[in-house]
Amino acid sequence: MADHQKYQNGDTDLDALFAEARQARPDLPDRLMSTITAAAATEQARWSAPAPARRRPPLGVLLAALGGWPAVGGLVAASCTGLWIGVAGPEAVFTAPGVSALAATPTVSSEYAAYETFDLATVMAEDMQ
Amino acid sequence: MIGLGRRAADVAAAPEASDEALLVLFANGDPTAAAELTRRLGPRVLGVAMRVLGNPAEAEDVTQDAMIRLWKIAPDWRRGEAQVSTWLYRVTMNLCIDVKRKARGGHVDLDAIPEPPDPAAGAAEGLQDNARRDALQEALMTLPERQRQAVVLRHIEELNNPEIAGIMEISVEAVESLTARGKRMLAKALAGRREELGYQDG
Repeated sequence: MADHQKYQNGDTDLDALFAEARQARPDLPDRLMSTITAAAATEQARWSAPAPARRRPPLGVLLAALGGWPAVGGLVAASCTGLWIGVAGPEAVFTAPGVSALAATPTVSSEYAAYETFDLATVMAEDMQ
Repeated sequence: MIGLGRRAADVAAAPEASDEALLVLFANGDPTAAAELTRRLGPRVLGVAMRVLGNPAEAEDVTQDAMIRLWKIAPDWRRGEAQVSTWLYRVTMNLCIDVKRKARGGHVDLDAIPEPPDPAAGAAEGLQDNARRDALQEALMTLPERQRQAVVLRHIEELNNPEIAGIMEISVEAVESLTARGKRMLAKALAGRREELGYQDG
């Protein structure tokens, strides 16, 4: 009974204290108000400032001149093929899976093409010697 | 919907202007929206931070930090997802937890440790009103961090439980439990000071 009474009073006190606390909300000090609004202005200025012009790195300039990454990809593939042909010699070219498949195709035109290729490769091999 | 051509001064004059509308104006470069938002929200942030931290200097730092974070997210604000005040309260509460964590010098389970009473808070004597306010603050500082946050948001800020749940990122049931336990602990802490605070029995 006494406990019950005590907690009831406690609740009443507490509600009164909460009510007083609600009345006593602090004002924002002028100094703090100024700091916060100044920060807001700085932030706005940051958004509206033009983005600094970025200098293109030399590699970027070269890339753009060649026509972008796809063009560079093609260039690299062609260069590698050329290097491979140069290093491995004409035999490797004939025994490469794609070429031999082409040569094995039983059509007159492909056989003729293989013969032509042989001719060209022979000339190339002689040139290299 | 607010046209971009309207200025915050006009919008603020209309009582229905929402915090969100002001924030959008601010993000669009309006020079007066920030002052109006600060007038509306700043004192609430400061009040909550003071109650939760029990230290005016720390509370002012938190208020400044929270408002600056609001300015920074303004351009990316997703309209209609959350109330500006809810977002700001959440940031404030997290900043308060950071302050307490730094003061302890490490990561500690905040709910496990009751706050030590702030000796400065009890030092002020004089007017009974002041004594009573200090008594509430002293009692609040004896609560675990999350309980104190929930009690302050519920009983001083007078927010509803779903909103508090959104701020504290917990369930409504957890909010109810925190506020109920917090209120019981406060009542106990204050029970011994009834006469001192000028309350009569009966």
